[in-house]
Amino acid sequence: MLNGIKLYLFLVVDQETKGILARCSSANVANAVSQGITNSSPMTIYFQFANHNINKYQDDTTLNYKLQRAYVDETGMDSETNVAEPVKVDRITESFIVSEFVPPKGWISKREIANFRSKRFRDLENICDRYISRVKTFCGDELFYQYLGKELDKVSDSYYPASIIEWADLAELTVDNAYQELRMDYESVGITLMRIHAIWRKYVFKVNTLNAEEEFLNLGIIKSFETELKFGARR
Amino acid sequence: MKSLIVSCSFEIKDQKNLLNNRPDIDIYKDILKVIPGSWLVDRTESVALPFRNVVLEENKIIEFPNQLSMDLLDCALTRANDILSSQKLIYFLWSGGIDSTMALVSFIQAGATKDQLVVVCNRDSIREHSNFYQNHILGNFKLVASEEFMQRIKFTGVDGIVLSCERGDCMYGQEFGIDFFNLYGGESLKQKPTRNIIVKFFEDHGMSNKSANCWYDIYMLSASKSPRPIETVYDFSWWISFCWRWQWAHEKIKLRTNIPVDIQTFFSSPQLQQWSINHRQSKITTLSDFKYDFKKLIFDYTKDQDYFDKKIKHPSATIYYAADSYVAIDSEHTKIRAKDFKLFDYYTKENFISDWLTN
Repeated sequence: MLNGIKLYLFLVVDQETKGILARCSSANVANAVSQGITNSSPMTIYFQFANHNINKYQDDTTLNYKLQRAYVDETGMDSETNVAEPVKVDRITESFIVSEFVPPKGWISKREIANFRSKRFRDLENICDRYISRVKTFCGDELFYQYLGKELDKVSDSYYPASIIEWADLAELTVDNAYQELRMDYESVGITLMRIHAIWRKYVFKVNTLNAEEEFLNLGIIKSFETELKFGARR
Repeated sequence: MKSLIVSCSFEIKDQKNLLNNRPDIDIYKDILKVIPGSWLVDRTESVALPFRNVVLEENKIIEFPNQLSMDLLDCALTRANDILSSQKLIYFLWSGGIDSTMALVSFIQAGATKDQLVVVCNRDSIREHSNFYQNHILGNFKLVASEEFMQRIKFTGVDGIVLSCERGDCMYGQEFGIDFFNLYGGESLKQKPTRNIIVKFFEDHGMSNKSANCWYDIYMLSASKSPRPIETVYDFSWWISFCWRWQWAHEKIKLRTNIPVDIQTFFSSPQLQQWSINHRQSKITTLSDFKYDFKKLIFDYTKDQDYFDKKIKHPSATIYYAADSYVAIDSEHTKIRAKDFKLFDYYTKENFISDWLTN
């Protein structure tokens, strides 16, 4: 909400080599991929690579890059949010550098697995987005529902908090009508998101057991994911 | 031997290894290319399918009188009044679609009050028919979110009647009718439902010629017991819904409950069924002509001309979204979990399709 358009690269980086295993479509997808690959971490960096081949990283697994972090005097703190190879420079123009990488033994298969999962998590996330967009009705939803939940909890018998009385006034509804609708919306959105979250979580684990597109297709993952979102799991 | 009241088509599709290389089951499965999401049960009990079904007593085709002196509004008001007279709280599942709006108009006209009826809906319902929500629901009835309500009937139960309008689709010949309309135009619905025409329709949906012919015979055998002559493609389509999807339309919601809940459908009354049997579709020149009478009943109350002119039927219920379910209910009303369900336990070699293949 009103965060402005930020261009990021969402990467999964190998902790051992700092090689970039996958470029993902979102931080959520990068987290999901990383969860399934030992010694990898999600890294979100500012996008400064308009003409760089990193843009083709998902389509071309023969491309191999590592992530470097520029420093002048000190390498800086090593942390889960700084998974990059430190590289000394005279003057920092960009914090992160994507550079050529000679893949070590075993790298290619790891990169292909990460890339495959990244693509497929993107597809699953897109399906989640479609279902979530059903309940996305206002640009300020994210902040609105947090506060609304607290205000709805204050309602008892014929008592309504000022926020709901005022909302009703502004919306030109009676307070009780306003409460009915707000509560209905709040519960609907909350439960919908809880369910989609649970199903996403389950499939993150499931897809992270798969190593190739063929397995994914044989198991009909997209179809079963959509079916669960539409009809729920068959218990 | 146990039979099934309801299951779901996914169970047939998923159990690939178990069901392979059985010609009768291959033909049985092929109909899912035309009707992908339901569990077919023959209300006339004329046709034994490969998996044993039981038709619940209340779902059997009964003797209907030929004459009906009541019009649609009378039938709907009678039904609404009958339910209201139970003195129980009614949880009305309003999807925002034509069927549930028509039924809710009937309750409003029958004088249902805020203390008698709770509208179960969500933002999808409001989006689909926002004028009706704004002008006739909000303020007149309490609201419960569909998702919250589905949780309640699963985990804690509700004290009252859960009223669904699932069978609204079964009242009209739209099941195949909309597909026929889209594929071959409105005039195609007036044709006689000959083997050539129906088989071509099935084949155009990917069924094999053998399956298409067999299913034509299955449907026509049951159609011989139809209380209304099956003279047109539209009639044929009506019969598929009214006969074959009737039980599933009501029972499927029970797959979502853990505890007994009093679930009823608005369109189940003998009068409304009789109306459906007697009803003839006057014309279908656009998709908005389907469910004309339901829309007319709504229009007569709301005076919403735009809705009346333009609204078409499309899937609208989102109450099942991401809500898990059992996979079947057997003839002893036991709800069966996926891990305990063996569809093949209900298989019978003595079935119509096997005989058809032999002859």
